[in-house]
Order: sequence, then structure tokens, then C-alpha cells
Amino acid sequence: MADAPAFDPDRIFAVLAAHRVEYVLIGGLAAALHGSSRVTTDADITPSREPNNIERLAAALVELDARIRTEGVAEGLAFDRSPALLRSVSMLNLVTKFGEVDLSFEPAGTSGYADLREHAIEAEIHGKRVMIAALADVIRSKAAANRPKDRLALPELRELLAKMGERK
Amino acid sequence: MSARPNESLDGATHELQEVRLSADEVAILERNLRLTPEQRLDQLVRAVRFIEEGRAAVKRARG
Repeated sequence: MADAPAFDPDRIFAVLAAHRVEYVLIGGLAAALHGSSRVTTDADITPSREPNNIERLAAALVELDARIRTEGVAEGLAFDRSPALLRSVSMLNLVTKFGEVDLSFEPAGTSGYADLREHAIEAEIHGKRVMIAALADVIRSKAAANRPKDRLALPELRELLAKMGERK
Repeated sequence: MSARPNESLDGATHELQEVRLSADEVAILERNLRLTPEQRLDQLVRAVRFIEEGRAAVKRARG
């Protein structure tokens, strides 16, 4: 992986599905699937910390050739993609052979996978099952993170939620 | 947070500062600038196709 790889969400989710990784999609891509006009080129996921799932996630990250994303090194930095490492971290910003993937085991404003899974929507996208965080949970997380990009995105997301009449 | 100047971006730096992108967004743009125009277009097309299909799937799932 010599250059920064282009984002290919279908192939990222195909690898996660092939390894039966349990996760919830959050962040900008989840927001886009709920109707946000902002197109994003990375995938933020919250994986389950269940031990067998961590094993499957580690295998998926090997297949994705996941590396630590860092400025100045387009192909990223190699790291120990072991279950032990995954159990010890709360967040990893990665670049894979199919683009950028951020792992966040406990996104801001949430208590992690079980919390997000409760109201997540299961959708089949191009033949792959994807668990998508509810829009209200995407908003909750972005409001808690409160980064500039979150503050820019929130008004539209709240408007979408109001139109949908989802839980608030 | 406004964009921080980045000497490697040359002329693009000025535009990035004017629209006051966040540091995260600047980092994404910097990485995208390393892609060829064809790669950037392919990436965008793939993302949009995924989002279009995903929106339809979410609507179906909501019933």
C-alpha cells in the first residue's frame, strides 16, 4: 500500500461481513445514510467488545491491511493487529487498502456498541448487512464530541430527525 | 477552529483558510490531494453509490 488508498465502502463492509464482525456504523457515513447532504470518505464503526468479535475484528483488520493513520505517511504505520491490542484501546484511526476506517469502542456521548445497537437500523447495502446507528444516536454522539465539523453538521441532522419524527 | 497553514498545499492553503475548515477536514483534504484526479472521482462515485443504495435500504428497513 504505497499511496493513500481511495475510499471503497462496499469493499470495507464486505470484509467486515465476511469475518462476521458485529459493529454499528456511526459518524458522517451513518449521517449520510440518514439523509445528510455531507458526503464523507471514511467509515466510523463501533465494534462489539465481545471476545469472539474482537478475534473476528482482528482478522478483518489483517485482511484490510489496516495501518495507523498519521499525517505525512500516506500508507499509514504498521501496528500489532492482534486481539490483545484491540482489547486495550478505545479508539483507532486507521487507513486500510480500501480507505479510512475509524474504530471507536465508546464514541462520545454513548456507552458503546450495546448502547448504539439498541436502536440501530439493520440495512442491506449492495448485498452486505450493515448496522447503522439511529439518527438520534448519531446526533447524540456528535453533540457530545462537539468538534467544529460536528457543530457544522448538527443543524441539518436535527432538522432531518424532526422531519422523520424519530425518537429524540 | 480554522485551518492551519500548510506549506505543502501551496495555493490551496489560502482557499482552505478562507472557508475555515476544521483541522480534521483539512487533514482529509490533504490526503485526498495525494490521490490522482481519477482516483478522487472514483472515490466520490463509490461513496455516492453506497450512500444512495444505503438511503434506500434505510427507508426499507424503517418500513
